[in-house]
Amino acid sequence: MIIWLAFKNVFYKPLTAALNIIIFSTGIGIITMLSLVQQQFENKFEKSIEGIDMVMGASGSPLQLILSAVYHIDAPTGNIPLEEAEKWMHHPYIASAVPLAYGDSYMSFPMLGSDSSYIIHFGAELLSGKLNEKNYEVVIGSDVADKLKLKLGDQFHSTHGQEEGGEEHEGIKWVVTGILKPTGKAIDRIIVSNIESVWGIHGENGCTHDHEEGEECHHHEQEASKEITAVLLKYRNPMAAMQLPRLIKEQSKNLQLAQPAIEVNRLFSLLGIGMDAIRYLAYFIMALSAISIFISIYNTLKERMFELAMMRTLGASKFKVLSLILSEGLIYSVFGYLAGLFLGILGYQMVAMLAENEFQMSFSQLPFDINQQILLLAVSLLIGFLAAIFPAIKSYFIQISTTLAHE
Amino acid sequence: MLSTHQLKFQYTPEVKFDFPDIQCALGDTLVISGESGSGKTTLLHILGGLIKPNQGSLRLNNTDIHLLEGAQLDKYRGKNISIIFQKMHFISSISVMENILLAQWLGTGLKDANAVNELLAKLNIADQGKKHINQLSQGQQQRAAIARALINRPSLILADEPTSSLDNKNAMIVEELLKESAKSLNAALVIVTHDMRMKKHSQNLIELV
Repeated sequence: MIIWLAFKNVFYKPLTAALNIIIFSTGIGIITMLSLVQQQFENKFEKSIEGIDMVMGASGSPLQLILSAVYHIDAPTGNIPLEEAEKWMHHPYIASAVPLAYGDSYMSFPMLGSDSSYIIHFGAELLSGKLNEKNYEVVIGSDVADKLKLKLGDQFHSTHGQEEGGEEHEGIKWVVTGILKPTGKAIDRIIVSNIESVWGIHGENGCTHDHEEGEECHHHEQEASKEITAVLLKYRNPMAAMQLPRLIKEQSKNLQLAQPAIEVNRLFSLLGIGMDAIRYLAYFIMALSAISIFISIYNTLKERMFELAMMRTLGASKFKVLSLILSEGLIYSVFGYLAGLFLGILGYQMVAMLAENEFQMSFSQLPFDINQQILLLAVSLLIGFLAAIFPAIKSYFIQISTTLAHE
Repeated sequence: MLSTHQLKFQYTPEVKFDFPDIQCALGDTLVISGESGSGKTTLLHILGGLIKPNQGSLRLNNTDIHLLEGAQLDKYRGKNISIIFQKMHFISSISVMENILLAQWLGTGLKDANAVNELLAKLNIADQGKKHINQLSQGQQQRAAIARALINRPSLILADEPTSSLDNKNAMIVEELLKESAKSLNAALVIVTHDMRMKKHSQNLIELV
């Protein structure tokens, strides 16, 4: 009954109630959205670098090398000679090495030449079909299959380069032979073929049929056939981590090494500054909302002194009146929290859509952190409590007689 | 039976009241009148347990009200004493019906919508229950306040200037309504007023000086 009455009192002035709930939920919403996005980002990023100690590629920005070779959201830094790379891929310090050759893309999903170790490395399993064996056979990640509605046996032409609207390789058709189960890693949005196909499409097969400009074709044939883009390395032991980078730097000056863990941390800390700034803004909004709730309860309290005194004469104890006013603050908390949660998820979905369009990074399921939400709810209740406690104490000490006397 | 013995109340050393002993049997009506500042309202608030007398005793049926404290007093008041103030002080965010249900719940811990509807019908405001108090006419508001006062079938009904803002006809009606209700509920009715009209037809009258 008291909570019902508190509810009636709060929504008796719908505009004030709406304003308070909007301010409150904005704060909660921003915090929820930020942590959802951050978690999803870190989740996505960290999952994909599991088991990769080092990435070897052409010189350039190390962050770019990681972003392109591991996440496929940046252009490659360039190519490296296969011969040079192989020297290190079979080095005794190396437990596993996954060679990557970039070339084409299809509907802006990157196509990647590698060997079977790539799929094994990312722990991907076949959902249907079989692994690619011959040239121009591809296995596609789950996102690719979903977005492009590709099925086993489907054929397509690829586009040169990573950008959409690039030059189409018309002569050669790729065939889908396998579809992978979702992994939550970058491989979900990759089309994997063997390396020979990547060399081939830029080499003689692709050329003889399609390339009208002979010179460029010749150029491709010569270089593409013995180059790869990057190698994902896993060390055999800690000793390798100490020794190998130095050895490679000394002996292969044109190779660049980048540690995914370091680069990803650097990326997070760069993003983190922005996220922290927004988070502090959200805390500020929450504080503002506490003040706004306090003011609106305090203001109505002045008008409602008679009502509260009347409730006391009708038999309400001091404690009942106190809990009525406290409940009003807590109702703001609960509604503000729920609306904020809704806003946060909505905002997260918008960011997810944006990320999907920009990076083809699909934010699969909601990374809902129940502990964090319990904490947020607790903070919400605390804010409502703090906003209402002073008016509530005031109502507790109402002098019924002097309030109601008219003499 | 309501009875008081040597009630005294003091606001400041200069402003203090010595009240005459009063008695009012259940079903009877007592009118207390006096000039402004004579302590009418103070006496009413003491009778209602809203303030404590500095001295003296106050007994309703078998309960010494002046000995009750805190939540115990609140509970006793809610169940046994009803006060009708000059202003209604209805809760504006809920309907008249809900206000009376709230009074019922605060007094007895129960909610009985049928009883409320019956009472509203008896007071001729059955169709006003769903409205908020400020949508009712003055006379209807007075009836709603009476309904709220009667809903818990109290032993003591206190009324503070219930008729002073009403015209002759309505004042008459309200006065009769209160007296009849007190009789039918077997409650003691104490009316504090300076309304001359009411003094005229009261046998049981105390004048404060």
